[in-house]
Formats: sequence, structure tokens, C-alpha cells
Amino acid sequence: MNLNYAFMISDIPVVLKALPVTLELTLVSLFFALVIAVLFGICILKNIPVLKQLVVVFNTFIKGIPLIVQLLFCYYALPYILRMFNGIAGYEYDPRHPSYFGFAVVAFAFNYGAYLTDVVVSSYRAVDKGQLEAAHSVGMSTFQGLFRIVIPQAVVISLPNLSNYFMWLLKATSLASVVNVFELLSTARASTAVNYAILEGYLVAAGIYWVVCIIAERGLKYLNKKMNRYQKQLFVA
Amino acid sequence: MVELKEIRKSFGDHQILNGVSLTVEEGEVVVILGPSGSGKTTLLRTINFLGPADSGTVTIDGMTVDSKKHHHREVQELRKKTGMVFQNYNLFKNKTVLHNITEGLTSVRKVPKAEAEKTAMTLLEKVNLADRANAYPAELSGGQQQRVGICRALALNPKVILFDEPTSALDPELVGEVLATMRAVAATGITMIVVTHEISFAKEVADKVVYMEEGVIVEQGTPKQVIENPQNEKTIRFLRTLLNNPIEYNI
Repeated sequence: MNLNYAFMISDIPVVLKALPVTLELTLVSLFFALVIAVLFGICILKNIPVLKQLVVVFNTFIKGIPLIVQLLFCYYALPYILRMFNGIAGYEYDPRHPSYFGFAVVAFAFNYGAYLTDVVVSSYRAVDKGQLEAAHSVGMSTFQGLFRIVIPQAVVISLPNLSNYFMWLLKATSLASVVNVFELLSTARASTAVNYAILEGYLVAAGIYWVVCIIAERGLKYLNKKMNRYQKQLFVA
Repeated sequence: MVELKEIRKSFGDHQILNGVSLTVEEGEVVVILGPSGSGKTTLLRTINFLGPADSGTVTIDGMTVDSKKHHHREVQELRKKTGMVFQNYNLFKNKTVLHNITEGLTSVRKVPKAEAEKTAMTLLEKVNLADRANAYPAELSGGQQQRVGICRALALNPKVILFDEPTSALDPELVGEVLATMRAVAATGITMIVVTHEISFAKEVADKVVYMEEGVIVEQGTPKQVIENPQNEKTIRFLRTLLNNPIEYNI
């Protein structure tokens, strides 16, 4: 195989310029996914009639459809939906500049929100019931007990799972290249248009993903260890 | 000080408490004995509404709350008059020993942090755990955790402390240190209601022993009356199994 190494090296800074878009897409999607997961999780944990059933059905629906289909759905359907809001509360839909980034965020947020709902629910349930009872016994309200004692523990329990989903999402954002978002992968492909060194372009993208993932994994492991310090047993014989 | 009137509670079809009434005077140490499933722990948990009764009233230090209809504010006020020590310690896992004790003081009583920590350290010194103040509960032995649990209850200066089988989850060699701590607590004159299987503790420390079976109080009185000279047949049977171990198995 004859790779164009000189091009690959010169291509790295070009592709790296798109890294912020990938990271932004990942973090913004993750943020909204978490918001959705917490809201859905509350519906399930609080056993809210109707809403709980809706959440369960919606989540099976989301989990049963490929992510790329959801991205394409948002890409084609959201402009129609936004157009319906044209003129309402001062909103003006601009058909010439659709927010492809925003459409992708919607798709990622709901897709990952569905999976993270399970993480939220299981992490909350994993906290010993006695913790909230103890909080009550020292006079705390349920609200105080949840926010000072139970939720901090649930967050720590959810961290390994959350880290995995974060890494997954980071790589899954490359699918957004299909729906007109100029993130890392589509930028890499575009950069090869000058000399058709397509394989080299993809290799550069792959290398950047790899390095970013290694850094992210290390960082998350460290965070996990730090947050978990209270569960360490010093008296292990 | 503490008065329970006609406490009833059932789980589904199963009636756990069948109208229990109990009066505890200020400074009294009351030990509740009874076989497993007799409703001792359930009764204790109705006092601070961790497991509210279906009906009946709870009065602590002049404040009466009806189990049937209670507002969560009332319950919170009532809980501020009580402290509780749990069977499996239930220390806040994400807090250090020191902060387990200060948590209620700072977040509920709004005591300044420095003052709360001073109170906590004084208590920890009394139970010989001052050097473990910055450890997390997972780093302590069961006996140490339970001593911290007792400090956590004491720190809030409650009118009554409820002990829910505080030594049942401990290894036998750790029971002594916890019982010693409880004796010291009793000596301070604080009102205590203790559910336990430690007959010797009941004999030595209790002012009043209550024997429960099948959701009712069968017999109550001084330790001398109930433990050494029980009148009711059920009490006699229970104490005999506990003390003499009369059953012989052939395997």
C-alpha cells in the first residue's frame, strides 16, 4: 500500500479544526440527553400515571430504531415542524439557513436520553433505602435528604455507565456527517477532495478520534476514582 | 415524655400492630423485647414516622401527631425531637464520620459549621473515635460505625433516642463496645427506647421492660418483674427459649 504520508501530516491541522464541532456536538447532546433522562427517570421512579407509560413506550421506540434513521428523520422532519411555529411568539423560521447542528442534537439527545433513562433509574434505585431514612431521622426533609445524601451517591454510582455512554456518543457524532454537520469526519472527507487521498483522510480522522478517546477515558477514570474515594475499604485484610 | 395511643398497622392483610399503647417517662430507659415478627421494630418506626402507623397517635414532648392524618411539616417537627440508631448503622456513606454527625446540625438546625464540628468532636472523643473523624464509614468496623451512629443521634440533643436492634448486625466481639456506649448514654439521663435481644442489657440498664408478641404488649414492668418473675405464659416461654435453649436437635 502506498500512502501519501506528506499529505496525511499536512491534513492533521485541517481536520483538527473540526474537532471543536465534534466536541460541542457531543457535550451539548449529552447535556440535553441527561436532562431528558432525568425527566423521564422521574416519571418512572415516581410512577406518574400515563407519563410513565408514555416514557416506556417512547423509549422502546427510540431504542428499536437505528440512530442514523433518527438523524435522517430529524433532518427531514424538523424543518416542517419548525415552519409550523413560524410567526408564533416572535419566532421566524429561516428556510435558507436550517440549523443542521441543532437537528443532530435533537436526534442524539433523544436517542441517548432513552438509554440514560435506564442509568438514572438504576443508579437511584441502587442507593440504599436506609440512607434516606437516616436523613429523615436527623430531621431533614425529603428534598434535603435527596439532594444532600441520595443523589450525590446515585451520581457516583452512575459514573462508570455515564462514562461509557459519553465515549460512545463522542464516536457516534460522526454519523452527523450524513446530515450536513461539518464535524470531524465530514471535514476529513472534504479535505481529500484536492487529491483524492480518501483513505489517508479517513486514517487521519481515525487517529484523532483515537487520541481524543484515550484522553477522555483517562480523564473519566481519574474522575471516577476521585468521586469514589468514600467506597474504598482500607481494612481489606 | 413519649406516649403512644392505640397504634395499629397492617401490611396488606397481615396485622402487625394491634392497638399498642405505651407511656415512657422522661429519662426512662425502656427496652422492648419479643420474638421476631412481633412488631417491635415496626412499633419503633411508627414513633418517628419512618413507617407511619395506620391509626393511633404519637405524643412526644407535648406534641401530638395523628397517624391517620398528618402533614409532613408536623412529622418533620416531631422527628426533630427524636434521634434514631439503626440496625445496619445507615451512616451517610458519602460523608466522613465528622460530617455524618454535623450534617443534621448544619442543614436542619442551622448551627454554624465550626460550632457543629466542635460538638461532633466532643462526642467522638467520648466514644474514642476522635482520630477517625475524617474517615469514611466504609473504612470503619461495624462497632465503630454504630458508635458514630449513636453520636449522630446524640448530637441533635433529641428528647428521645430510638434504638432499632443496634447490636444485631454486629460480630459478637463488637457487641460489647456498642452496649458500653449505650450504657453511657443511658447514664446521661436521656430518654431511650431500645429494641434489642440483649437480655443482660435489659436487666442492667432498663427502667422498664416491655414484652411484645403478635402486635400487642403482653407484659410490662421493671426488669425484675418481667425478666426475673414473668407472669404471662407467653413471656415465660420466650424467656425460657432465650435463656435455657431447651430445644435439642438430632441430626
